Amino acid sequence: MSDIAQRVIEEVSRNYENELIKKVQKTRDKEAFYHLVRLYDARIYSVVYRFLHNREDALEIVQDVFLQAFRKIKQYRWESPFYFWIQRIAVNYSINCIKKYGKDVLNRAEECDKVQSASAFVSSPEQTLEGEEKKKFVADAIARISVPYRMAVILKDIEGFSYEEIAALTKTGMGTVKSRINRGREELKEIFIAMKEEVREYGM
Amino acid sequence: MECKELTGLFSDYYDNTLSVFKRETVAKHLLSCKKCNLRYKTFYEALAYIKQVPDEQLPEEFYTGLDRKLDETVSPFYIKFQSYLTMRNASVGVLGLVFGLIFGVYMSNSSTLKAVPSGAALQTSFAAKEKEKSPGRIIMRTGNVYKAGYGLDGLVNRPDSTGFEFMNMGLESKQEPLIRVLHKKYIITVNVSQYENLIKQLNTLGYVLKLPDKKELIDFKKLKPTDQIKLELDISEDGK
Repeated sequence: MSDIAQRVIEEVSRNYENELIKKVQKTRDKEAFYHLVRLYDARIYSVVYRFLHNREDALEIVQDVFLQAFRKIKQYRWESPFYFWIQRIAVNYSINCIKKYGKDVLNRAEECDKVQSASAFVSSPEQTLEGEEKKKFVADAIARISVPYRMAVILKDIEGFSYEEIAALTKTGMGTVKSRINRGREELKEIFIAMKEEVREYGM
Repeated sequence: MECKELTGLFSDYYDNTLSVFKRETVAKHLLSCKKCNLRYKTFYEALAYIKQVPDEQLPEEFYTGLDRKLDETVSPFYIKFQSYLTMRNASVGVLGLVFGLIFGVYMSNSSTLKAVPSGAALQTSFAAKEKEKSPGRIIMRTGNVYKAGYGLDGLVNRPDSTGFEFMNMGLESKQEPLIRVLHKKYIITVNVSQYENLIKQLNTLGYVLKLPDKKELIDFKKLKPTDQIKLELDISEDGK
């Protein structure tokens, strides 16, 4: 696809999104809001699920995130993209959830691990995993990163946010964000090495 | 450069945020050291691998749950209580209300006051220049407003809207020591010219008036004889 075509599509979709936001802000139209939700539902869910590593909790949190967005949509001031605004709510909710129910969530996530990991490592992870298996493998690997660094790695290396954006999303300083990403990436590297060894050892 | 120093620099090297000099040093070390090269390769592959992963798929129940939550937000508050609104609950509620009313009326009738002259508590306050259309009218209140007639010879409850027995608190009637309390709070409105008479009546009945303070006295002196004063009487249940 040419650059011009790409730009036209982006422009049209941005206009469509803006119209939807204005409509919801003016009339609290539920249908328009659902169209808006459909634009970002999977992305928001992915971030929350990868952070919590539990489908039920993630589902509940994402519903609450969109509910909060619907309630507070009049407070959206067009200063940043709408996706960024929603993502900030999602990050807040996810971090609060871990803070509040940390142990419970992580225990449940570990139980999920035991069930899922065996089916995920069918063979060498990087080469042959496809679709759902690949997602499971990555989700498991990310879930092993320590909680303080996990969100930073997800936002930087999967979602592609810049350091400044992550600092704004997580309400922390740039230095903290950088060190969290560094340590998170180091942990991820070690996790990948360990997972490779596990695969070799059990011959899965 | 040693292998130890390199460990913390992988991330910056990957993001290309190192200075040119440091970047070249790291690149040289990676070329010369097999161990570090392998470690960086794993680091790079891990990040490249998680970048490619597609978004998670939302479970089907997401929209039904969101729909329910949104409905709760949009719908008026009484919808939440709709499930409790059965015939049985409604009839229990109505019965409770009726019993409550009967009990309330019974309790308000049964309280008594001993008219012991020295023990009676009386608090007065007045709002200056309170305009009322008919001067000399007594208004009596216990939550509801009751009108009562006013004569110089006595304070009289008017039985019209209250439904209670006629009660005379006047001087001449010499009430028995045990007087039935109709109301705990009385608000009496009188003209300034009639104020002294009223005070005398109340004093002879045995109620001790709390004297107005300095500020109230100044206000009081400014009043014309036709202005009205509002007195508020609080009588405690045991008459003290």
